[in-house]
Amino acid sequence: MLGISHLLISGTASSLLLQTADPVLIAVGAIGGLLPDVDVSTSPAGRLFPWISGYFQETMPHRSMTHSIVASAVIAIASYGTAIFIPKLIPIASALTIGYTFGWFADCFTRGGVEMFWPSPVRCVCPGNRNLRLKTGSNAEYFILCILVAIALSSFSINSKGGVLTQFNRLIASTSGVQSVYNSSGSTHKIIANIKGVRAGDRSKVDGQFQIIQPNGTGFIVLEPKTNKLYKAATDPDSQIVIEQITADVSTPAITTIESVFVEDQVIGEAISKFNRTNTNVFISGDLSVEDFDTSVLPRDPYQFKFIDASPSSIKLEAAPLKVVMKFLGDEFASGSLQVRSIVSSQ
Amino acid sequence: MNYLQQRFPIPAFTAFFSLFPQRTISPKNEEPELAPGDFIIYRQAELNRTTASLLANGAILIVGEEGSGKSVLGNAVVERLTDDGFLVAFVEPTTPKQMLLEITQQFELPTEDIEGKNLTVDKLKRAIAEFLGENTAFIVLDDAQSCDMKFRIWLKQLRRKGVPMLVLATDPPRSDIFINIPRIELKPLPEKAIRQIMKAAAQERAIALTSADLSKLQERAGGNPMLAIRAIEEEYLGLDIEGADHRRYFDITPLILVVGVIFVIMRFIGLGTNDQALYIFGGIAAAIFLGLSRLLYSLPQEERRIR
Repeated sequence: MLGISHLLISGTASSLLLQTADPVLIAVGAIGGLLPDVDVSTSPAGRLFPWISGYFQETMPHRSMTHSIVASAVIAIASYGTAIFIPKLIPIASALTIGYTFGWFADCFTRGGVEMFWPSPVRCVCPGNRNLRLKTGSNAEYFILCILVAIALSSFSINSKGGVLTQFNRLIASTSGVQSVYNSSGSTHKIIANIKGVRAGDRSKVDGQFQIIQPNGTGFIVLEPKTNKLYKAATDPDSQIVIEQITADVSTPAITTIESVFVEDQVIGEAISKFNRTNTNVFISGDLSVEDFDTSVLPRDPYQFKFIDASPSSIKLEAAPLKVVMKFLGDEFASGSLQVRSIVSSQ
Repeated sequence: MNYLQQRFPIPAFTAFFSLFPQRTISPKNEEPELAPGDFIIYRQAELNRTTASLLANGAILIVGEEGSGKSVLGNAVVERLTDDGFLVAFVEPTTPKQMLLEITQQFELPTEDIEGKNLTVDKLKRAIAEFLGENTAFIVLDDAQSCDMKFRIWLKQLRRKGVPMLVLATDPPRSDIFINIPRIELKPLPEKAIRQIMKAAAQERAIALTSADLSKLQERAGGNPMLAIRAIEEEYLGLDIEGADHRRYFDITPLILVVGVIFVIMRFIGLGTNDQALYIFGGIAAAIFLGLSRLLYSLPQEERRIR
C-alpha cells in the first residue's frame, strides 16, 4: 500500500475516532500510520529509526510483529505510560495509537496481508480472494485513495463543526439533539434554536431563530430576540409553537446562574430588583401567595407562553421576564420562594 | 526499485525522507552464511524420530503441504539408513508395475522367472513380500497420494506383515494406508531457517539482496522452504509479485460483521437512553457494515486453479 494511503487512512481514523479537527492530532495519527513499516530499513520510518529496522528486517518477515495487535498494545502502553505524567499528551497518545493501528490494519486489504495475531504466523487478509485484494500502486488503490480523500475532507469538516453526532443531530433535527447541545453548552453559551414548525393557535408557519431559555416538557421555552416574546416550542398540547424541525447552534458566551429568593410578606419588586443588571436576561419562576390580587392587570397574549398564572390568592411564575414581573407585580406584597435564572452575556 | 519512489509518488515526501539516508546495519545475531551447495536438514527431530521408528520395524506417514520438505526429509532418511548398511527402496509414483520393478531392482531381486519371462505384477508383489519377510529392508514411498489405490492396499497388506515403511504424502485422504499408520505432520519451518534457505538460494543465483529485500520476500514464504526458494527465483527473474501460495492466509471478513454488531449494540444504547441521534446513527452504521460484510461474503471465491 502506498505511503500516502497510510497517511490518509490513519489521519482520517484519528480524526473520526477522536472527533477532532486539530491538525496536530491528525498529523500525529497520520505519521503513526507510517510507523508499522519500521520493520524494513527502506521505509520512511525505517530510515528514521535504522537500528530498530535493522533488528526487525534481520529477524522477521515484513509485516509481521510490527503489524500486530501486540505492537499496537506496546505503542499504547508506551504512549499512555508517558502521558500519565503529562496529561496534556493523552490526546496525542490516543492519536498515535489509533494511527499506528489503522496503519497496519490497512495492510490487511493488500495481497500480502499482515500477521495481526503475532506471534501466531497466520497472515490476516480481507477479502479471502487474493485477486480482489489491493496491489501497491494499482488503479484500484488510486481509486480508493480518491474515496479516502473525500472521506478525510468530510471528516475534518464535520469534526470542525462539533463532531459526527452533532452534525447528525442537525441532520435529523430532533429535540433530543438540541437537548444534548443545550446540556453540553447551555451553562456557558447562548443556545440559538433554529425552529421550523407552526403556531399552535392559528397554524401559521414559523421559521426562525430563538434563544433557548430553559427546557420545558418535551421542548423548550424560547425567546424571540426581535420581539422579546416567550414561547413554548415543543410537541406538547400546551405549546405555542409546534416543532417540526429543530436544530441548535452554540452562540456567544453567556453564563447562566440560578439563584433562590425567599419573599416573606414583602413587596415583590424590592425582593427582585437587585437582579436587574445590564447585559443580563433574567427569568423568574416560583410560587407566591398573595391576598386579593387583581388578575385583570396581567397581560394576556394568546400567542405567548403563559409565564404568569395568577389567581386572587396565588401567583405561579414560570420563566417570567424580570421586567414584566417588575411592571405588573412589582408593588404586590407576597410570600413564597422564587428561582431567578440570570443569563449574563458579554454583549 | 527505490522504496520511496514506489510508495511515495509525491516528490515532497521523497525529498523529506532523503534527509535520512538508508544505513547499513550489522546486527550482532547475524546467522552464519551458507555457502552455495551447503545443505542443512532443518527437521532433525523429525529425521531422528522417523529413522528410529523404521529401525524399530515401524511404519510412519509424513504429511505436509506442497514444498514443506517431505522429499528432502525422505531422502535424508534413505541416506542415513543406506549409510548404516540397510537396504532401502525409494520409489515415486508411476504405474504400479513400474513401481514394483523399481523396488525389485533396488532390492536386487530377479525380475524374470527361470524361463526368462518377465514377472507379472502379482509375482513381483509376492517376490517383494517374501524378500521383506526374510530380510530387514525398508520401503520409502514419496508422493503416496498420487499412487494407485491397489498399490496402496498392497502396502497396507505389507504393513500387516510388519514391513517397515515410510510413506510421504501431500494432503492424503483419510483412508487405507494413510489412516493405518502413525503420522507426523510437518509444521512450517521457523523464520530463521527460512531466512537461511533464502540467503543460500540468493547466493546460488549470485544475486545481492539486502536484509530489507529478504524481509519483504520472506512474507511470501509462509514457512515453506519451496516457496522461499521460489520467491528468490521470482526476484531473480524480476517478476513483480505480491501475493503468495502458502496456507497461512486467514480471511478476517467476519471482523467487518463484528463492527456491524457493535453498531447494533450502539443502536440499542441509543434506544435505551432515548438518544435519537445515536439510535439512528447506530442503525445506519450497522446497516452499512452488515451490508458490507454480506457483500464481502458474496464475492467470488478464489479459484483453485492457477490462471
